[in-house]
Parts: sequence; structure tokens; C-alpha cells
Amino acid sequence: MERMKQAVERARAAFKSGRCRSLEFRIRQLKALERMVHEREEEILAAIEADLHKCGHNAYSHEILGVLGELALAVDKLPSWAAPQPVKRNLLTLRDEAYVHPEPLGVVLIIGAWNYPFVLVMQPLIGAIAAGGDPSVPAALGAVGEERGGSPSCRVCLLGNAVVVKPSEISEHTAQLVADLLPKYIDPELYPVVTGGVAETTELLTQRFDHIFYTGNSAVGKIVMAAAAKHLTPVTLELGGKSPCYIDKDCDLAVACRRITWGKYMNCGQTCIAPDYILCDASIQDKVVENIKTTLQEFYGEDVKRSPDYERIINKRHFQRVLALLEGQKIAHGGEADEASCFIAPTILTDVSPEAKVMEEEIFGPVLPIVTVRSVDEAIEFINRREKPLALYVFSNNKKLIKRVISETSSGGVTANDVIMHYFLATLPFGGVGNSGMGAYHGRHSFETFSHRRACLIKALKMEGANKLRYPPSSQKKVDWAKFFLLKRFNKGRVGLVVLALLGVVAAVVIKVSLG
Amino acid sequence: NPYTGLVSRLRAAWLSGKTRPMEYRVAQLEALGRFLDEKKQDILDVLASDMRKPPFEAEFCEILLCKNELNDTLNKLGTWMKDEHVEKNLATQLDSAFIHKDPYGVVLILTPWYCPIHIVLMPLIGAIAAGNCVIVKPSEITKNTERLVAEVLPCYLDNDCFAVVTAGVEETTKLLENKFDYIFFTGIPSVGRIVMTAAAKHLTPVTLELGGKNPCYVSDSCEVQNVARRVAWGRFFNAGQTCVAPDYILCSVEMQEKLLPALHEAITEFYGPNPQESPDFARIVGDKQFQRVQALLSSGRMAIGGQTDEQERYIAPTVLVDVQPSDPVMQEKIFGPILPIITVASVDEAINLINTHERPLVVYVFSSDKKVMNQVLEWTSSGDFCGNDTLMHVTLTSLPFGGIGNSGLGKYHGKFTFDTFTHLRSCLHRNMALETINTLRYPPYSPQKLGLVRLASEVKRQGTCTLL
Repeated sequence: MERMKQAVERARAAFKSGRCRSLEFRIRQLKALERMVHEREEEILAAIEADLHKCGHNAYSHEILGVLGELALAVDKLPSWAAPQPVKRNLLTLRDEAYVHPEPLGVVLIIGAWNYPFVLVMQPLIGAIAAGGDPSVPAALGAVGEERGGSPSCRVCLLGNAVVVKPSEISEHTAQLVADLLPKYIDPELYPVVTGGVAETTELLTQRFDHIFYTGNSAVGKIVMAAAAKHLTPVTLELGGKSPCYIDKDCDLAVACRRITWGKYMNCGQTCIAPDYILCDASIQDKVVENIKTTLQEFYGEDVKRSPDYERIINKRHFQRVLALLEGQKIAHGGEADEASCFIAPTILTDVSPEAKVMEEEIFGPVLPIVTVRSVDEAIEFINRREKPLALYVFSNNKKLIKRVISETSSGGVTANDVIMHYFLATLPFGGVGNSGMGAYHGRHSFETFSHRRACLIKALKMEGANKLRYPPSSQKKVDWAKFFLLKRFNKGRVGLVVLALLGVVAAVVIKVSLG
Repeated sequence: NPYTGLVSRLRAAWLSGKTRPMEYRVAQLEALGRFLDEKKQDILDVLASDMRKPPFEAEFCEILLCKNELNDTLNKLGTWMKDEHVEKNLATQLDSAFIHKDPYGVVLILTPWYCPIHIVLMPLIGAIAAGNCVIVKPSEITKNTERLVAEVLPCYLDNDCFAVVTAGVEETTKLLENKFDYIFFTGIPSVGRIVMTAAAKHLTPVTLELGGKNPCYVSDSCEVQNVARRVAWGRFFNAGQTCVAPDYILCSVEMQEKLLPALHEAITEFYGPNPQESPDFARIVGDKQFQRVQALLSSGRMAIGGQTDEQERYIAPTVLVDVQPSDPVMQEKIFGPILPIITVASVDEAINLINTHERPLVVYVFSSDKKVMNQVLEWTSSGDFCGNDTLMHVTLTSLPFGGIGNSGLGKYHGKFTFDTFTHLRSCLHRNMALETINTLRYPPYSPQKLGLVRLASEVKRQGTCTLL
């Protein structure tokens, strides 16, 4: 347990030493990560295969590709993300500088999950390393971009985070690999990796962090947030839920079912945004089953167990949990299982009751229940009676229907006419709502999650005349002037600004005279 | 639980979709505007009776700033509510990718006593604009204001979707047992912890606007009289009971010599020779708070002021010198009209001292030297930063207002309030056509497929991820 405390203390000391301050340093760390992913690709793929029985193609496209994309984006855009952002001013602040200054939060904790064990640690890590400001950009006009902090007594570095990484112990091969590789490529004191299980994580959570990023389930999410509350630590929680998938009668069923099959059974159903269950009209239920069966054949061949492209359940505990959900259900396809290899065949259940066990918890396995509903109204009502999910899917040719489903429900994210894909667009913030989580990341949103937006207003020490109207002793005249300055809206472009400036000067003079 | 019925009722109203249309939200916001106009005198009266808030301060802080926020919101609501389209990558070129603005649902706003109308209305405006149903709990410490808000505000708003709850500590604890979809809390860090712990039970996201000791560094290069006026105004506004007030001054011994007479002059300019008689100087809100602040007067030496009157809960605008970092006045947020000065030998020493405390809501620096300004900015951390003035960053609604660490989490004002109460929901509306392109992602896999995928991603190395 001391190990946890020491790792955090060392990271905090490293943060304060000023090592992570410059933009160049952070970009170097990100480029080192890029090198790591390229040079060690084989080992990374092997670890993921050992953990999830995942073939190279899948592991590459699910985990490595995303990481490389995020790294390239961060390296490219970091200078612009880290620069101070000027904001619109009002009449009172016209001659001042007003901007948002991005800063790091401090020491950040990232807790990974086991289902995509590499990318779910790497993607937040990229954002956490990238986050912060840029000392080479003068924050105030007239300041020269020189090396500050020459004095040894200035101990606090404020331009980059320190990050404690805790991969999931359940995906043990990837966890060990991350623990071995990261220190070889990036600063080991600023970015330590700690391994361990529940006990170690609990101990870690008693330490004070400046942000905690957790990916996992809602039950543990509550524990993480409660621990964070003791230190007033902000959190990002990427949790889960039962992501519904509504199939309208008016849609190309063959295409829809192929896309759904891909998203549902990838990683053996162990994807936080997998379509958890289907809602559709009873009249198309059989067709849906047929289409999915055909697609499964196309994807995995006659004997799914022999397909190198089909994964396994992560461990025995989850294997038993998922298998238990099949009890008493009408199995339209699949159902075969083999405990020794944690294999569960792609399974479809039909005419499932909303009260069945399989409809209570997130399935996180290759079991696809179909619940019949008579209309989109019923589907919307059904979805809204339950916790807000991480993702929501709707298949329809009718644009209005899709719009309606989106505006009358809530979820972390939505993909219409496909599944999963909103995850892959970095400009879309990825995260949950309600029971499925809080906060978001990916692309610039990762940078913002791990940065503090410090509002800055720098006024001139002159122009005291205008200030007189706010000082006591008060008078009705002063109140009227205050109203004038505060309640006017000025967004009229350059010409407007010139007029404004003139107005400001005139006003200052008039006030000086009238209150002088 | 006495509040479960109310929360369920509001949740049902939200699920019914009543708050979604823009017209509805505009109507509610306009009604708030009418509340501020029609009840202005009542508002000024209750603020005067609860804490003798000077009419100018009340009008500035509680009415004008709120009207500003209201106007800004009404002007821009249409734009804020719209789906925000985002840049697409190669794979999604033919799709529609946007961020949809979802309300959270039922939101709880817990407010403190020091700007009791302002801190009710500012978040309320954004919460309504974002399409939520709202429960407001005004502070029970400012009794007259609490009554005004509880009795009059509901007359202006739709009671199906908005409610005001009056509650003390015990009832608030019960209120917090219910599930809310967002909680907005303004107050002290210890209660912030309690609120966040309660929120964790339901995975409710929170904004916590807390406080801290806001340092004010005055460098040797500055116009002393202007500095003194701005600092005095910020410190003694509302008799020091403002979360963004400068809490203590750091300056050199030489600057202290110049500041003291300048501060004395400013205080006399503002409040006359006897501030107790000035209608522009407020009082401490309650006996408990009065005792607490009065006890801090024993730190250091009183250079200006120090007079108190328990009956009126009056504490004179006071400046303390010879204060040590270990003195009681430096151990807690003052929240009263006391301004301690601590002398430091250099800006480095000032920065070090600032960094020994929890991160505050705002750091103030007075200097005509931009380098000094920058140095303090880069080597300290705080919610916000204001150079050469006090309090004023709060009036610019394009700046995100909020703390960090012990001074809070989350930001608001202007669009940031709307964003606080909105779930930014990522939406990707795909094409059903071009299914052949998708075959790259489907099993069975082959080295050729993988090769194509790698190729596609390598071409697009300039920043976008192309997973097909």
C-alpha cells in the first residue's frame, strides 16, 4: 500500500519540479508514445490476444489505430489548443485584455478498463499529457517569451500534468505490458504506472488527485466519485448501460442487421457502446433474426468456435454471469458455450420480456435480446423508463423519426443507421450521461478534460475616471451610468469597436467632469 | 422523504417534454425579467433588512448583473440550442455529425446567503435556458430574502417545472437524498464535500462554486492611489462578504508605507470619516458570522479601523499590518471587512506564499510591469485571474467563472451557464448506402484487408482518424 502513496507523492514532486512545463517537453512525450506504438506493435497485439483471444486485425483496428490517430492529432494541434483564447469584451472592458488561459490540473489519475485494455488507458493518457498551457506564448501583451522561473524558490510548475496510470488487472497481459513499456518511453516519475487489484485501487483512491478519469461500471463509478468527493476532485466517469437499438419497419433490414451484427459481436459483445438489445415491431422480428444469422455466417463461417476472428469472454466469472442470462429465454440462434475456453456463441433471444434478468443489467456479452414494441412511441417510452444509456441506436429511412427519437430521449451519444461509429470521430465528445457517466473525451475534448480554463482579465491602472461611477458614495446618477455600461450589447464588428472606443473615451470624460 | 413527491412531479414534467420548445424557455426567462423589474424595490428592501446591503451594491450585483445575463441568454438562446455541426473525417464525409443539446432533467440549485438573489438567478437563468426543470433552495440565513424568493418567484414561473424549497441543514440533507440530474452548489468547501458525496450516490454531475483566500499582490511599480481605491472597493464591498473579494495583500515594506495612507484616503472617500454612518457600507449577516470575523481582529496590529458594534453587527473597514502567515486571520477565508497586509521581499516570495495555500477562486495582481503580471499568472494556480482591478472579471459574461481544487469545480456565466446545464450529446447520422466500404471492417479478416486499413490510416496522418 505504501507503494501507491509513494508513486503519487513522487508524481506530485515531479509536477512541482517544473519538468513538464514546456510545450516541447509534452510534444516530445507524445512523439515517444508514437514511437512506442510503432516499435512495439507486435508485443501490444500479442498481449491483447492473450487477454481477449483477439486477432491481430481486430486488435490493430480497435486499439492501435485509434491511439495513433489521437497522437497525431494532439501533436499537430497542441500549440493551438494550448494558446490563450481571447474572449469578446464589453464596453467596460474594451481597453483591457480578456482571455482564457489553459492550465494543467496537477496530478491526474487514470483507471483503465479490461475490455479494450490498451486504448482505454492510452487515449486519456494522451489528453492528460497534452493538457495545459504554453509559456512561449506571451500571456499578456508586452511580456517577452523568456524563460521564467529562474529563481530556485519558484517551485510550482503549471504547464503540464503528472499522470498516474492504473491499467485494469483483469486484462493482466496488457496491464503488465503497459507497466513495462511506458517507463521506457516517457518520463517514469511524471507518468508512473501502478498495477494491482481492488485493494490497491482502493488505497490509491484515498490519495488526493486533481482529476480522476475512470472507465468501468456504474457501481464502481459511484465508489470512485465518493472517494473523489473527499478531496473535491473533479471526475470523468466513462461508464456503461444498456444501449438500445430501435429498428424501424421502414429501413433496409439487410444493411441494418449487418451493421448491428458487427457492433454487437465484436470483442464478443464486451464493448461499452455495443447495441445491448433490439426494439422492433413483432412483424419484423423473424426477418431481423434471419438477417443476423446470415451475417453471422458471412462473418464467422459455419463453426464460429473455429473462426480466428471471434473473441472470448475475458474470464470465468463473466462467462458464468453472461450464460446465466440465457436461463428461461427463447433462444432463436446460438446458445452454445464452452467454459474451458470461455466461449459463448453469438446468441439471439426473441420475444424477451422487459422484466427478464437479461433486460436488467448491461449484458456485456454476445447475447442479443429482441423486445417487441408496437410503435416508435412505445420504444421511446421504453427507453425513457430506464437509466440513460451510453449510446442509442436507431435505424430508419425516415429522417423525421430519427430526429424525434433523438430529441425525445437522452443518452451519452447516438449513431443513426449504424452502430459504434460516433466513437471514431474525434471532433465528437465521447461520454455518458446519468448512470452512463459524466464528462467526455477524444480529440480536443481530452485536452479540455485535463485542463483548467483560467479566466483572465488584465486592466490598465489608468482610466480611473470610469471607475468612479462604481465607488461610494453612491447616487442615482451613478446607478444610471452603471446601467448604461453594463446593459448595452456590443457585438458589431470592427467599425462598432471603433465607435465603442470613442464612446468609451467620451463617457469617461463626461463622467470625470460630472462627478469630478 | 418529504421531497420525493416534488422531485417525481418535476421529473414527470420534464419527461413530458414541456420544457423543450424554445418558446417555453423564452417565456420563463422573460418572466424572470419581469420579476426583476416589478419586484426591484422589494428585492432592495429585503437585502437591506437582511444585511444592510447598500442600494448601489444591491442594484449592481443582484439586479444589473442578472439582467445582463438574462439579456445575453435571450439574445443568443436560439444559437446555443441549435445542433452544433462538427468537422468530419474521411469515413464520415457523407454523414451528418453534430452535437445535440440535451437538458439534464431535474436540476437542484443550492444558494448561499451573501449575494442571495444573484446566486439564485444566475444559475437559474442557464438551467431554464438549457431546458431543465429546476428546484431552487435559497439560503435560510437571509430570512427575508428567502421568504421573497419562496413566495414571489413561483408566481412568475411555471409551477409544473420550477419549485422553490425552503430548508435548513437537516431538510437539505433529506433533499439531497433524492436523485437529481445535476446539482449546482455555491458555498463553503466543507459543505461542497457533503454535496458531492450525496451526488456520488446517484452519479449526479455537479458544479461547486466554493471559495478560498484570494491573494492580492501589489508590486512596487504601480499607481498607488488607484490601486488603493480598487482594492478597498473590492475588499469592503458588501462588508467583505463576497467570494471574489481580495482576502489579503502581499507587498514590499516600501509599498506598504505608501499603501496605508492611500487606503485610508480611499476608505474616507468612500464611507466618510465614520463608516458606521455611511449608507453605503453593509453589515455582517448574522451574529455567528460577526463573532467569527471579530475574532480575527486580534491578528497583527490594526493600522486602520478596527471599531465594532455588536448590536448592529458592524465591523469597520479595517487594515491589519505585522501579520504573520501563521496568524488566525491567515488560516481561514476572512469573509469580512478586514484586509491584512503581509510584507514580502520579492515577487518570488509572494508566489511561494500564495502556493502554500489551497488554490483560491481568484488571484489579483497590481502592477504596471507586464512581466511581473505574467510571472504571477504562470507560477500560481487559481480559478481565475484579474490584473489591476478587483471583482470586475465577474462582470464579463464571455469569461468562464469558477474555481479549481478547493475553490471548486465547473464554470459558469453567459454561455458557460447554458453549457453547464446541458448534456452535449454526440450524434452521427449515417448513410445506409455505400455498404461496400464497410466491408473493410467486417470479418472474415485477411492480411489484405488489414493492409488497406493501415494504408488508409497512413495517408490521413495529418490529424484525423480513419477507421472504416
